[in-house]
Amino acid sequence: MRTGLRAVIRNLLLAIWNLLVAIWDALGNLELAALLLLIFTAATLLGTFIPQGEAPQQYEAAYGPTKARILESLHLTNLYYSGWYRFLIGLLTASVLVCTIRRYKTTVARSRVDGEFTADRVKSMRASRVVESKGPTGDAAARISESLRRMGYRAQAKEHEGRTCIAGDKGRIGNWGMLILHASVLVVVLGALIGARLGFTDYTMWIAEGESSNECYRRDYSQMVYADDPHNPGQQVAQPRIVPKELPFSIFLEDFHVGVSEKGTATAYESTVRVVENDKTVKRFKIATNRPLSYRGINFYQNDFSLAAVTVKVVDPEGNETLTSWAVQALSDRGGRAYRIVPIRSADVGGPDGLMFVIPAGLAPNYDPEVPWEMPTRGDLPANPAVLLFAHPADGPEVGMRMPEEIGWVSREHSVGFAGHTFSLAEAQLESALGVGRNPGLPVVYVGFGTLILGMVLAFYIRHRVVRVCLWDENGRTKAAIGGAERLGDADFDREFEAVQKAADA
Amino acid sequence: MQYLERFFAEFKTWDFSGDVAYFKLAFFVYAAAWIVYLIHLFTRDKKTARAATLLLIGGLGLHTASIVLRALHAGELPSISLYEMISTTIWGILCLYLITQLTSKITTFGAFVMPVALAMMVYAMFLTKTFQDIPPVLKSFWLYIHVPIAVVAYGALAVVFALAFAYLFRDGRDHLVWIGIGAVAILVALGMAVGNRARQMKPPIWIEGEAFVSGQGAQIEGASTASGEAVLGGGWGAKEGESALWEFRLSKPIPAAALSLAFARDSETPGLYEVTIDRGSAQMSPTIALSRSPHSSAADEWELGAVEIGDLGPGYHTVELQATRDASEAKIDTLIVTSRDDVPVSLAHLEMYKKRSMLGGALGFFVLGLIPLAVGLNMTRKGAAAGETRRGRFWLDRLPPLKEMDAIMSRLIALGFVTLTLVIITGAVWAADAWGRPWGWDPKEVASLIPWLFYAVYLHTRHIAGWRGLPSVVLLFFGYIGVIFCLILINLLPSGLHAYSG
Repeated sequence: MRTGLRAVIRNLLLAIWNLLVAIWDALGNLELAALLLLIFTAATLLGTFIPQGEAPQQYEAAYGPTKARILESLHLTNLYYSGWYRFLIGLLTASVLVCTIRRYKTTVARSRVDGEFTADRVKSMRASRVVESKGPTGDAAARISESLRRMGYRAQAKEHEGRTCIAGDKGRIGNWGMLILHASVLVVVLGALIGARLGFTDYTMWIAEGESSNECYRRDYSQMVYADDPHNPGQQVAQPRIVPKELPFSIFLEDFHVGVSEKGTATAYESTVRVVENDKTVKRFKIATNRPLSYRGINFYQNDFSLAAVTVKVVDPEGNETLTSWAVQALSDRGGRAYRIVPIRSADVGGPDGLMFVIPAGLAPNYDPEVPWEMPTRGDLPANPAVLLFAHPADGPEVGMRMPEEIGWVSREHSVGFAGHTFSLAEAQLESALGVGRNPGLPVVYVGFGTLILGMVLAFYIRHRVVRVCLWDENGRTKAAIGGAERLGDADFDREFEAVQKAADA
Repeated sequence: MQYLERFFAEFKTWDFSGDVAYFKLAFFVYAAAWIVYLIHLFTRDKKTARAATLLLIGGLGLHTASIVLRALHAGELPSISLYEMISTTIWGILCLYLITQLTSKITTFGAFVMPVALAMMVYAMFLTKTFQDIPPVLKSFWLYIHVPIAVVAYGALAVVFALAFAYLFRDGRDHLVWIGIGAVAILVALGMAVGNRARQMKPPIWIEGEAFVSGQGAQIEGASTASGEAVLGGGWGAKEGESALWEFRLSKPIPAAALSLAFARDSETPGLYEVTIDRGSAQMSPTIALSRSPHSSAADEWELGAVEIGDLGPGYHTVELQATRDASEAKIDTLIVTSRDDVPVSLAHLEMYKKRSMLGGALGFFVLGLIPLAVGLNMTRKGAAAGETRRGRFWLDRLPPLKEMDAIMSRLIALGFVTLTLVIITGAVWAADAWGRPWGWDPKEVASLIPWLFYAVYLHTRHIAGWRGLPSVVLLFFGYIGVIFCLILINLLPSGLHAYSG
């Protein structure tokens, strides 16, 4: 019984081993590699025909409910992140890995140029000819080697069994191009994996001017939760779950600046920040588009911005100042970005009868005093914020029955007087959205990129050329067979042949 | 057809202070070069070769002037709008072809390469040439690395594409070329028919009004009645179910309580249809209504469709008019903008385009594709073998041996593939700095990967499976079709971090 069990286990192990060898061989199959690449290309192409990453309603509208459901169940709507696409990538990477390992041996073998060969071998090379030498064999060998060396070849002469063999080659490193190229692909994939596993991406940090933050968050679209709808207060709507992340240091935003061109478009976004760690300012940096901040391996990118709050200064007839701030909410929809003050709160500022309340009725991000505004709450760039103020008395029997009176729009340059008071915009606090991420695999990816280019240049532009010369005596004459071959190329060797012939005849 | 009208309308305005005039002039010189190259193909003499080359160089000079002028005006490399991208790509193709011709000393390739460039130029004529503002993300030294490398890459691959045609002709298999062209046309027809349902692409017919100088907007300042008028050249009617979309951009916001847009048949007739837009409050969108003007005696052929009007601030706004009945006679060509309260209206840009069903185009492509397909199949049936027929001898005398052509193509593919890899790599490194990740499966990023994969498949099948000659060339053919698709169509998709252009 025991022998039977042992035999079974042995057979099982043998079967597993054979299976693994079969898989290895299959992965090393070059035709399979080409086929896999073709399938991968087709799969990638599919993602350009079907819009990716849209809301389910869009697909229903475009394709109809049944087709949309089919597309979503096949993961074709988020193709590049789907399991089957990643499986394809994995398969392709495995194929490259196995082929690269196998190729190493052949590359080493090809780079070796044996110094011993027969005249027939030389004659069978792709380009070859047979000439007669006019001098003695020994001298001829030395001269031929020298002439080859002058053309950049590494030449060596060897005597063997009555014939002299001269083998010369150059561009040996070109053989390594393919190997380096394919290995680089593995390095890039490795770097991507390291980045995905050990890093994080897609986090945003909002900081208002003059404030600091050490927390960023990410929207997880794979987990939808019900939360208040910002567009319809009081209602709830499905939204992606907010995933927070705390950083070991905080970022203090000194100033956010939007450069505005004459046409009214943005020319630059800049956040001047300070990195604060353990209550000490460690670094001061101006983050801009294309200029991220990097600290402790964490990168901060300029992503977005908004208006956070506005502060209005009221100076009463006696010269007393009151500052009132209101928070601003920005909502983006198809029409652009709309700003509004939330919550609308009236502020007590004193007045001729004792008390006056001021209500902010509107917020303009980009106010133009020459153009009378009504409700210009939309616009992307808060280049010249302004608040529309209304006033109403706090006391008296007419409260509630008297309409608020319009004070007017106040902006940084434009202040309004009303009932003896002067209203002006003291501050418009901007807030900056920084993209936060960490990619420890990036240096690996860059190394992979570098070697990829190196490998390509070697593979395409540097060819291993071998020239073989065989000298022997025939009926008192020295005969020379000259042959040349180029790996993966069809170049002619006329120059080499002429030089060798000249050296032989000299 | 209206496409032809649009094409010829392009050549009505010549403003040599702008860059577009030089582009149009270059088109004519390139076309002349092609004709001379074709003559050279028949006569094979040195004089025509020299003439064609000189015309090509002349055209390139004009084209370079157009690019340089555009760069000077914009302050940056012209690489933002689709028109600019295609213009620089064509420039790259022809530069690389010139270098290939001068180094290989083979002049008969010109007849094959020029039509590729000319076809792209014809397409570029339909595109809007307005200057677009440079988004901050493009203000980086990477632009000067990434874009020129891309120009070289796509140029080399285009020349290879043209040479693939020549290869097939030389191989005696030109019947395959015709079959290939027919097959591609039918594939496009299929795509259009399927895509019509998916509604992913709107096939626009851009009309830039004669009130506008191409490349710049015009300011229509109002008089005391505060109204402005923009007249487009040639009115457009619509069949039942079609929509006319009017897209305009205000350079200054409209503060008045109501803005009126009137669409008229011509500038003489007062507005036939009025769209009244009430500004609304911050919480509510502006209300819009379409009404027939009291002056109009025309029947109600139009209905208001989708309206995307923000707060009437600066930015693009769209009004769609749907034809409820056959409105082919009701050719609307005038937009009258009126605001109340004496506020000047400043219209920066106006375009009208029609949303039409792609099925007509699909049918057209299908029918067009059948012709070369039939020609090719007929040739196959007759069995034209290389070198045996009179036509075969024609090509044998004019094109170099297949091995030599293969060598030239290999060199160009090597250049194209290496530079294509560099395009992806430089793009990834730039993206890591700008967006925080080197690769995000953004449509344009994928669009640059697909040609790379195609050519990788080509190289693998060539060296591994031993595909030489015909199958290889077929792959090249479809590979470049993929490149064109990715280059152009991806830019038309509205989503993604890359899509600035129109």
